[in-house]
Amino acid sequence: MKSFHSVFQSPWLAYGFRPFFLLAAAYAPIALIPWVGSLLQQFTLPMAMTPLEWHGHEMLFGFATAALAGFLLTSIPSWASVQPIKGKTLAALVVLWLLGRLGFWMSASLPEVLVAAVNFAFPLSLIFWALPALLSEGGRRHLSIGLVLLAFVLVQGVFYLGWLWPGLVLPPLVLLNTAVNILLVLIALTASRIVRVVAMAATKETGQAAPLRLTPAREYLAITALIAYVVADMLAPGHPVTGWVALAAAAAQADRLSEWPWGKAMGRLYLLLLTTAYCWMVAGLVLVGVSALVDGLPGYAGRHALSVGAVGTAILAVFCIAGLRHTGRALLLPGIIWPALFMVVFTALLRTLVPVWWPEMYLLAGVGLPFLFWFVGFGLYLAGYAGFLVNARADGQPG
Amino acid sequence: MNRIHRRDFLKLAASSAVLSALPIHRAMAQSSTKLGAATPYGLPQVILTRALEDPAVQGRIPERDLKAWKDPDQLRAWLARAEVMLAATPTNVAANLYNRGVPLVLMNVNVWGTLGMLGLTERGRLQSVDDLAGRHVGVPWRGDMPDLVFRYLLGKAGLQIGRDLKVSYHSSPFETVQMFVARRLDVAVLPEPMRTATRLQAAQFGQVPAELDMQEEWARLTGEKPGLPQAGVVCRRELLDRYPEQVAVLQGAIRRAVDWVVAMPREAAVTGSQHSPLSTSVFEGAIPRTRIRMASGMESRKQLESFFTALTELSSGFIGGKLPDSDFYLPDPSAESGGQG
Repeated sequence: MKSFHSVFQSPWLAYGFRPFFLLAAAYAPIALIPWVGSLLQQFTLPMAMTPLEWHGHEMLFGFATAALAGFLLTSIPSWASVQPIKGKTLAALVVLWLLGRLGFWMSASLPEVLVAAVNFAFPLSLIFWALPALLSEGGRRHLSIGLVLLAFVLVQGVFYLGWLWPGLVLPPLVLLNTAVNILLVLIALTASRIVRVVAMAATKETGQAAPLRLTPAREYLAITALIAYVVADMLAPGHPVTGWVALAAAAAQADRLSEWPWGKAMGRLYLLLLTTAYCWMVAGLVLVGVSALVDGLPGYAGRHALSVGAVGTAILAVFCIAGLRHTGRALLLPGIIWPALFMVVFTALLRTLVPVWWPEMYLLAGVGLPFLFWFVGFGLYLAGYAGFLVNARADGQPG
Repeated sequence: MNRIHRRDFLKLAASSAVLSALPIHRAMAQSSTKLGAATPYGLPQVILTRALEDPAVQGRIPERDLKAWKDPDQLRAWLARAEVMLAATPTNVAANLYNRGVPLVLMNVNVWGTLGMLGLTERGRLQSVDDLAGRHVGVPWRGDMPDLVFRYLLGKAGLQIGRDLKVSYHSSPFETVQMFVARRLDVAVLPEPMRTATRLQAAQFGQVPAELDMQEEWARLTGEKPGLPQAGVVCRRELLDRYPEQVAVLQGAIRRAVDWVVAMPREAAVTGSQHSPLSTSVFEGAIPRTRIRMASGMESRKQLESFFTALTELSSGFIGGKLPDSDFYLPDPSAESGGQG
């Protein structure tokens, strides 16, 4: 029993980001396999929902949710006076997440209600822990993040309602797009917190003299425009008004980007990662907007720019930055993250552009290569960070 | 964006006419005894693969190389360089290349009906194009043959996109399949074998889609006989000029291959799956749903001209601006005529 007990004392269960960043990075390519198999007509696993819905669910409520859990379990204790979840409780959360994945992979042979309940129990547990912390005096200034998290979990719950009772709520793919859009708001809110710190570090490190000024009003405008887009895209996807709102949101994000340090400081990988994610957000919103307004683009143009490009790169950025800071290391990203970033960027580029400009090469360049790049990208992250995540902090501190 | 791509393709095709006339390419072609052939995926590939394995072809042309083309630009480049002397191709691509100066001869048409629609039964019946009113239809490859045939049928039925029905275009039929299976489309326009792939995948999720043969609908709405000349085989003119006996042997082998596909769908399906991402069961389902019959180029001319004329009303660039002249069609020696099976 002693050795069993010592498992819960292991460094990899010492803080929330450790197991969830590891699991999310490992699951990122695994979750794609059934979808790529179905899309390329190679094999279709027995599933309780169609491959497209299964794919969207697992990338968002499997992979992205694990990354989100790691981020929140780590950042909230530093924002509010709340004890971090670790040890046995953290292990229980990990098991719950794994049971959710198992349920989805075996969804054809399990009761749908059970699969939905197990999957929904994970974000509910997270939110029951996070919301009181964010409502406390110390955490209140980060309450906006809690509300976005609540919206994300709500969409997940509605998704299950639609699965169990088809036709009761919005179509599943609309809900999945809404979940991606809510993550964009989360990225925008998180950028307000992280970019200020990392941009200052980057300008200081590179000796740029100009003072960094990030105007709060422009940040609020960007986030408000983004929220308007989330609502419009949920209620009227593909409508010209939604197109204009998406373009307005893109303009507001681009305006915000213009204040970021665009000189030598951008050579700092931690800043470049976040900026790349934000640039993808602008590009994706433009494509979503244009495809709603003109006839020449497929309606889904831009969706992968937002999901793979913006969300995927933002997750990699958080993995990298938090993975260093919270393991007691200086903010000096391992060189292996450069190719990892390129891989994720190539994934988003190919997945976005090949179907539009090079449809003849759809199977190889639009699906096969992006899968390979995504696999290698997160594989490189694991190669660079797995040691940090499973071993004790470099500075000997707890956590 | 596809339109821009197509314009580039046409410009490149025009320049290829100049390139194809350069003696260096002829010299290269003459220096090799290997017959380079190309085919897109699908049933044309099955037919050409079988034809090139025909003993008569093996006896006459010992070295043959069959590769897959994915993009008309790629095919144009291969044909222009004489790297490919024989190619299976949609008939509109053949006419387009010919009109842009690539020296081609249409040997035959062997696919006369591969287009159809699948409909979700819970969204209403699908017995004619008129039933598409109020539906959301997914179509792969905007501006290509399936899209133009679909829009032609809509026009004949008096339906207008936007006013009467919603249409979403996809970059690949693989995407259309997934959108249909996910019930994000009421109806999907798909060629075989992708239509069968969709049916089989939809069946895994409890769906039994309604099917509508677009060739039958064309016949009903135009009063013509069912069967649209959709794909065939072309060769470079110099192959015909210099080695007419090879062309005759190839034409005979293609005829036998077509008969074999119709008579032996199981074996043909195995061949198809060996050369494409699709499974044997997909090809097995697709073969009986495709009109496959051999007709020489000249024999197909009337129906081709009628088909091209109808579709160029919707897109003048479909065949490169004009109907191909008589040099496009392989002259029809009595030994190779007939075959309206």
